[in-house]
Amino acid sequence: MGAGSDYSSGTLSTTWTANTNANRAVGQVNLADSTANEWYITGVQLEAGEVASDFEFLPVDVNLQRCQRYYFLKADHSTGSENIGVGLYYSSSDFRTVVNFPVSMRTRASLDVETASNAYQFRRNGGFDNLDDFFADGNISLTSMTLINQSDASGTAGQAGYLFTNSSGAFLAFDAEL
Amino acid sequence: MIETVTKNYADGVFVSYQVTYVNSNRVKSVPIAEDNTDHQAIQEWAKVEGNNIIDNGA
Repeated sequence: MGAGSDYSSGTLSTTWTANTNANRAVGQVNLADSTANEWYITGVQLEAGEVASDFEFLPVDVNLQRCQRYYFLKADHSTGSENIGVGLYYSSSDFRTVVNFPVSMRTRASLDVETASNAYQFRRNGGFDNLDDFFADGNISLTSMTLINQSDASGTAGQAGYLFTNSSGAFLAFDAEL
Repeated sequence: MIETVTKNYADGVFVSYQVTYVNSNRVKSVPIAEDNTDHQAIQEWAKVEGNNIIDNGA
Protein backbone atom coordinates (compact mmCIF):
# COMPACT_ATOMS: atom_id res chain seq x y z
CA MET A 1 0.00 0.00 0.00
CA GLY A 2 2.91 2.31 0.45
CA ALA A 3 6.61 2.28 -0.48
CA GLY A 4 9.33 4.90 -0.41
CA SER A 5 11.95 5.51 -3.08
CA ASP A 6 14.33 2.99 -1.50
CA TYR A 7 11.96 0.28 -2.70
CA SER A 8 10.40 1.84 -5.80
CA SER A 9 13.09 3.83 -7.62
CA GLY A 10 14.53 0.92 -9.65
CA THR A 11 13.32 -0.95 -12.68
CA LEU A 12 10.48 -3.39 -12.64
CA SER A 13 11.73 -6.88 -13.24
CA THR A 14 9.66 -9.00 -15.60
CA THR A 15 11.52 -12.25 -14.93
CA TRP A 16 12.53 -14.14 -11.82
CA THR A 17 15.66 -12.54 -10.54
CA ALA A 18 17.73 -11.91 -7.43
CA ASN A 19 16.35 -9.36 -5.02
CA THR A 20 17.20 -5.69 -5.45
CA ASN A 21 15.45 -3.50 -2.93
CA ALA A 22 14.94 -0.60 -5.35
CA ASN A 23 13.10 -2.94 -7.73
CA ARG A 24 10.72 -4.44 -5.19
CA ALA A 25 7.81 -2.01 -5.51
CA VAL A 26 8.33 -0.20 -8.81
CA GLY A 27 5.11 1.39 -10.03
CA GLN A 28 3.42 0.98 -6.67
CA VAL A 29 0.67 3.53 -6.05
CA ASN A 30 1.25 5.04 -2.64
CA LEU A 31 -1.99 4.89 -0.68
CA ALA A 32 -0.47 6.92 2.12
CA ASP A 33 0.63 9.95 0.06
CA SER A 34 -2.67 11.81 0.49
CA THR A 35 -5.52 11.79 2.98
CA ALA A 36 -7.85 11.98 -0.05
CA ASN A 37 -6.86 8.49 -1.19
CA GLU A 38 -9.38 5.71 -0.72
CA TRP A 39 -8.98 1.98 -0.44
CA TYR A 40 -11.84 -0.30 -1.39
CA ILE A 41 -12.05 -3.82 -0.05
CA THR A 42 -14.66 -6.52 -0.24
CA GLY A 43 -15.01 -10.08 0.92
CA VAL A 44 -14.17 -9.34 4.54
CA GLN A 45 -16.11 -10.93 7.36
CA LEU A 46 -15.57 -9.81 10.94
CA GLU A 47 -16.55 -12.19 13.70
CA ALA A 48 -16.46 -12.16 17.47
CA GLY A 49 -14.50 -14.94 19.14
CA GLU A 50 -11.64 -17.19 18.08
CA VAL A 51 -13.40 -19.58 15.70
CA ALA A 52 -13.97 -18.51 12.12
CA SER A 53 -17.18 -19.71 10.52
CA ASP A 54 -17.72 -20.30 6.83
CA PHE A 55 -17.70 -17.17 4.75
CA GLU A 56 -21.22 -15.88 4.21
CA PHE A 57 -22.16 -14.49 0.81
CA LEU A 58 -25.58 -12.85 0.76
CA PRO A 59 -27.46 -12.00 -2.41
CA VAL A 60 -27.82 -8.26 -2.98
CA ASP A 61 -31.59 -8.38 -2.51
CA VAL A 62 -31.24 -10.12 0.86
CA ASN A 63 -28.66 -7.60 2.03
CA LEU A 64 -30.87 -4.71 0.87
CA GLN A 65 -33.87 -6.06 2.73
CA ARG A 66 -31.83 -6.40 5.90
CA CYS A 67 -30.70 -2.78 5.57
CA GLN A 68 -34.23 -1.57 4.91
CA ARG A 69 -35.32 -2.83 8.30
CA TYR A 70 -33.30 0.13 9.64
CA TYR A 71 -33.35 2.74 6.86
CA PHE A 72 -35.48 2.99 3.73
CA LEU A 73 -34.72 5.61 1.08
CA LYS A 74 -37.94 6.11 -0.83
CA ALA A 75 -36.87 8.93 -3.18
CA ASP A 76 -33.70 10.89 -3.88
CA HIS A 77 -33.48 13.77 -6.34
CA SER A 78 -29.70 13.51 -6.83
CA THR A 79 -30.18 12.11 -10.34
CA GLY A 80 -33.50 13.84 -11.13
CA SER A 81 -37.14 13.66 -10.13
CA GLU A 82 -38.20 10.50 -8.36
CA ASN A 83 -41.70 9.32 -7.71
CA ILE A 84 -43.03 9.13 -4.15
CA GLY A 85 -46.61 8.07 -4.64
CA VAL A 86 -50.26 9.00 -4.90
CA GLY A 87 -51.65 11.70 -2.63
CA LEU A 88 -54.70 13.82 -2.05
CA TYR A 89 -55.98 16.97 -0.41
CA TYR A 90 -57.58 16.01 2.89
CA SER A 91 -58.76 19.62 2.99
CA SER A 92 -57.89 22.67 0.91
CA SER A 93 -54.72 23.26 2.94
CA ASP A 94 -53.94 19.72 4.09
CA PHE A 95 -52.08 17.34 1.76
CA ARG A 96 -51.63 13.67 2.69
CA THR A 97 -49.99 10.63 1.18
CA VAL A 98 -49.26 7.12 2.45
CA VAL A 99 -45.90 5.45 1.89
CA ASN A 100 -45.62 1.69 2.32
CA PHE A 101 -42.27 0.19 3.32
CA PRO A 102 -40.81 -2.84 1.49
CA VAL A 103 -40.09 -4.67 4.77
CA SER A 104 -41.16 -4.28 8.39
CA MET A 105 -38.94 -1.74 10.09
CA ARG A 106 -37.27 -2.27 13.45
CA THR A 107 -39.57 0.19 15.18
CA ARG A 108 -41.92 2.96 14.19
CA ALA A 109 -39.64 4.99 11.95
CA SER A 110 -38.82 8.68 11.78
CA LEU A 111 -39.58 10.50 8.57
CA ASP A 112 -36.33 11.95 7.21
CA VAL A 113 -36.73 14.69 4.58
CA GLU A 114 -35.19 17.74 2.98
CA THR A 115 -36.92 21.00 3.86
CA ALA A 116 -36.51 23.61 1.15
CA SER A 117 -38.66 25.84 -0.99
CA ASN A 118 -40.51 23.73 -3.59
CA ALA A 119 -38.53 20.60 -2.74
CA TYR A 120 -41.50 18.40 -3.68
CA GLN A 121 -44.25 18.74 -6.25
CA PHE A 122 -47.80 17.40 -6.24
CA ARG A 123 -49.35 17.22 -9.72
CA ARG A 124 -53.13 17.26 -9.87
CA ASN A 125 -55.97 18.46 -12.06
CA GLY A 126 -53.69 19.58 -14.89
CA GLY A 127 -51.56 21.71 -12.58
CA PHE A 128 -49.23 21.39 -9.65
CA ASP A 129 -48.68 22.42 -6.06
CA ASN A 130 -45.14 22.80 -4.71
CA LEU A 131 -44.51 21.59 -1.16
CA ASP A 132 -41.52 22.26 1.09
CA ASP A 133 -41.62 19.27 3.46
CA PHE A 134 -43.87 16.90 5.42
CA PHE A 135 -44.52 15.59 8.88
CA ALA A 136 -45.55 12.16 10.12
CA ASP A 137 -49.11 11.43 11.11
CA GLY A 138 -49.66 9.49 14.30
CA ASN A 139 -51.02 6.33 12.69
CA ILE A 140 -47.56 4.95 11.91
CA SER A 141 -47.04 1.23 11.67
CA LEU A 142 -43.93 -0.86 11.07
CA THR A 143 -44.86 -1.07 7.40
CA SER A 144 -46.33 2.31 6.46
CA MET A 145 -46.60 5.99 7.33
CA THR A 146 -48.98 8.79 6.41
CA LEU A 147 -47.19 12.02 5.45
CA ILE A 148 -48.88 15.39 5.91
CA ASN A 149 -48.21 18.91 4.68
CA GLN A 150 -50.29 21.72 6.19
CA SER A 151 -47.87 24.59 5.60
CA ASP A 152 -47.82 24.93 1.80
CA ALA A 153 -50.64 22.77 0.48
CA SER A 154 -53.26 24.55 -1.56
CA GLY A 155 -55.93 22.71 -3.52
CA THR A 156 -59.41 21.26 -3.59
CA ALA A 157 -60.39 18.81 -0.88
CA GLY A 158 -60.69 15.29 -2.27
CA GLN A 159 -58.61 15.99 -5.35
CA ALA A 160 -55.93 13.36 -5.97
CA GLY A 161 -52.64 13.35 -7.86
CA TYR A 162 -49.10 12.12 -7.64
CA LEU A 163 -46.11 13.36 -5.67
CA PHE A 164 -42.44 13.42 -6.57
CA THR A 165 -39.18 15.16 -5.70
CA ASN A 166 -38.77 18.52 -7.40
CA SER A 167 -35.43 20.10 -6.54
CA SER A 168 -31.80 19.29 -5.96
CA GLY A 169 -31.24 17.93 -2.48
CA ALA A 170 -34.79 16.67 -2.05
CA PHE A 171 -35.08 13.20 -0.60
CA LEU A 172 -37.53 11.22 1.47
CA ALA A 173 -36.51 8.40 3.75
CA PHE A 174 -37.53 6.48 6.86
CA ASP A 175 -35.16 5.92 9.75
CA ALA A 176 -35.47 3.21 12.41
CA GLU A 177 -31.80 2.78 13.15
CA LEU A 178 -30.42 1.57 16.47
CA MET B 1 -27.14 18.47 16.52
CA ILE B 2 -30.75 19.27 17.30
CA GLU B 3 -31.69 22.93 16.89
CA THR B 4 -35.47 22.95 17.48
CA VAL B 5 -38.21 20.48 18.35
CA THR B 6 -41.84 21.31 17.60
CA LYS B 7 -44.95 19.24 18.22
CA ASN B 8 -46.99 18.32 15.12
CA TYR B 9 -50.77 18.13 15.26
CA ALA B 10 -53.20 16.49 12.87
CA ASP B 11 -56.95 16.41 13.31
CA GLY B 12 -56.46 18.15 16.63
CA VAL B 13 -54.19 15.44 18.02
CA PHE B 14 -50.47 15.56 18.84
CA VAL B 15 -49.01 13.07 16.36
CA SER B 16 -45.22 13.55 16.09
CA TYR B 17 -42.25 15.83 16.72
CA GLN B 18 -40.64 17.95 14.00
CA VAL B 19 -36.90 18.22 14.55
CA THR B 20 -34.54 20.66 12.84
CA TYR B 21 -30.77 20.41 12.98
CA VAL B 22 -28.07 23.07 13.17
CA ASN B 23 -26.83 24.16 9.71
CA SER B 24 -28.94 21.58 7.91
CA ASN B 25 -31.91 21.52 5.55
CA ARG B 26 -32.71 18.07 6.82
CA VAL B 27 -35.68 17.66 9.15
CA LYS B 28 -36.99 14.60 10.91
CA SER B 29 -40.54 13.91 11.91
CA VAL B 30 -40.31 11.63 14.89
CA PRO B 31 -43.12 9.38 16.10
CA ILE B 32 -44.10 9.06 19.73
CA ALA B 33 -42.29 5.75 20.12
CA GLU B 34 -39.95 5.08 23.03
CA ASP B 35 -37.74 2.63 21.12
CA ASN B 36 -37.16 5.10 18.31
CA THR B 37 -33.66 6.50 18.84
CA ASP B 38 -34.65 9.94 17.51
CA HIS B 39 -37.40 10.02 20.12
CA GLN B 40 -34.86 9.10 22.78
CA ALA B 41 -32.56 11.89 21.53
CA ILE B 42 -35.39 14.41 21.83
CA GLN B 43 -36.04 13.41 25.43
CA GLU B 44 -32.35 13.81 26.29
CA TRP B 45 -32.16 17.14 24.43
CA ALA B 46 -35.20 18.42 26.33
CA LYS B 47 -33.51 17.71 29.67
CA VAL B 48 -30.84 20.32 28.95
CA GLU B 49 -31.58 23.69 30.45
CA GLY B 50 -32.66 26.14 27.79
CA ASN B 51 -33.97 23.50 25.41
CA ASN B 52 -37.74 23.59 25.09
CA ILE B 53 -40.12 21.63 22.92
CA ILE B 54 -42.28 24.12 21.04
CA ASP B 55 -45.99 23.49 21.33
CA ASN B 56 -48.09 25.71 19.11
CA GLY B 57 -51.20 23.68 19.79
CA ALA B 58 -53.59 22.05 17.36
